[in-house]
Amino acid sequence: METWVIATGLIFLYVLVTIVLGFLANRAMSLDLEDFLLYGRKAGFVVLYLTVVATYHSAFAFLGAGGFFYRHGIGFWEAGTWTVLTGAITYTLGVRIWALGKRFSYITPADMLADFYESEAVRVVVALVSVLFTILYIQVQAQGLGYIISVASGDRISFEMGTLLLMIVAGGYLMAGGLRAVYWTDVVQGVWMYLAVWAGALVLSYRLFGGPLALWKRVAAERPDLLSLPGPEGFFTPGMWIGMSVALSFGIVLQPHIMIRYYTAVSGRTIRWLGATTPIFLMTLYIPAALVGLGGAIVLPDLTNPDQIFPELLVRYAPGWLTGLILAGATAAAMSTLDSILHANMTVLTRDVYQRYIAPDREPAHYVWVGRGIVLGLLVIGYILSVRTLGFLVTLVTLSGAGALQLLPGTLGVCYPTRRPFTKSGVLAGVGVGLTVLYVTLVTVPHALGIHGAIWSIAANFTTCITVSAFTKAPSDETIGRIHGAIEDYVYGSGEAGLEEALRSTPPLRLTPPAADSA
Amino acid sequence: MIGKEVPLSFRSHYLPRSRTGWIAVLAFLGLMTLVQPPLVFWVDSRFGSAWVLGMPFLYVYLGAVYFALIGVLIWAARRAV
Repeated sequence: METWVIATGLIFLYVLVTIVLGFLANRAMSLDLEDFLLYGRKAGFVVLYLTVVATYHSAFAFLGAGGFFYRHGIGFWEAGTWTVLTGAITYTLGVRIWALGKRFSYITPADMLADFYESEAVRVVVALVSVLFTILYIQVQAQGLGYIISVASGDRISFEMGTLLLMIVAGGYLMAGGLRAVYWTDVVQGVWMYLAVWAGALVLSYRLFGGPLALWKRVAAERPDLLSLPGPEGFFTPGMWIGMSVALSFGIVLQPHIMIRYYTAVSGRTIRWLGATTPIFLMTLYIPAALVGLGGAIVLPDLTNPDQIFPELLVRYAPGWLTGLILAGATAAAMSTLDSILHANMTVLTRDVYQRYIAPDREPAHYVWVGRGIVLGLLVIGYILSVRTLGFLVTLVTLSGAGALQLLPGTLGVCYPTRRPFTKSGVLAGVGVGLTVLYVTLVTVPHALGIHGAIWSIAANFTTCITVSAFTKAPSDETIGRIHGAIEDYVYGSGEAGLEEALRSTPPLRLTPPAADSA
Repeated sequence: MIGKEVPLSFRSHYLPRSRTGWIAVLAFLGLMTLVQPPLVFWVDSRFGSAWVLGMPFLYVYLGAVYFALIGVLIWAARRAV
């Protein structure tokens, strides 16, 4: 059987599995907004673990990471730093976000910030930042999907057709089963992508070099410049090292598709163990990526686009079944991020825009159907963006990695009580200045003085936020006492038992009445 | 309430309040310092040519510190810090 038949067949087998899971999730869900958008806040450790890691690692882990090692060498092993930091942030900040979400029924990041800062302007700005800087990832993941299926089929399925097909599948199971469908498919996707990357890298290193250790020796002998800092092109300067650590940990955690996941956990203990153990998956996925990228630099030194190194090596040197298995894994990596971003944007637009400003008092089923309509709209926009290359989009994608990072001061202000709390004016001014500085330091003068734009922008944001907050009106005592009191009590007081007790005695205003109807 | 302290009685949430909390935070920050500039660049220039277990020293060094950092997080979770 020809390689392209096996490869394409395995990808379609994987797609079939996701469709079946979407169907089963639809049977299990109810037309309740918390169930559709937040998995009913009942996600246990295993499901939450796999959905977080599968969402965190996108097509980049398959294509971009190998390309980075290929081009910039061992410096990209710095990736371990931001993956471990992501775990620590989840452990400390994530658990507070979870507790507040549970106590006050928050669904989106904007819910939490708008409640504390008592400001609709904060809600709108947070929603805009959340959507603007993640919607572009729909385009990135969709393009990755089109590329993968095009390579797997030997160009028998065009890039445009492949993109369209896989976007419809991802959007379809999301519309059918909500976040439950996303989580169930992410479980399969997380396992598949991890095994695929490891299997592919090990098989290639044994076939091409006789094993990983022999690979390292060849790299040292033929490309020693790849084994030292700051790398062949001088990319990994100290400023870039620190900047990437911050942007790709705090910046990604604060994106809505990750932050919303904290709300969905069944308990705070689940979040703590999530934070303690997700770095194992996230970090060790870069070990095979190093083998692929560095080995590829020896075997195929003149590749025009380094991001293609993994599929190029597979197509040339791996058996057909393995190529198919791994490309299906790459499809899983891209789809698991795509569906999560679609879900996050749907949630923000349904909750923070439609329900808040357009139709506040409708039945839960109405919002579920509106959410489905929004997914459809996002798919159309995503598809158009993915088959066209527009100049301003390239700029926005450049900004998007550190865009959500600008929500850090506002989020810390809610979750970490201080004697002088931030104010809505401080947070808004900080976001405005931070985004301006981000544009300047990533587009006009990229990484000025060798320091990543994320560092410049977040420093300007914090400085502005603190300064403006010192001279403007703070949230009311009642709000600060209510929210910071809840945090104090949860973290240092009665913990989860106290939280449950508080919910029993003064249940939060339920956003939507429960409904038992099946979708 | 402009530019004034909020009249709430609380202790800092940025500082640990228990011995195990202090150990976890200091261990994590100390280890993180080992994989950040300027230390990591010094390690590369000083030991860059060395090999450990058939792999470049920097690769093994970074990997070992990352696993130690994860160990601190797991230790903290087990102690419910």
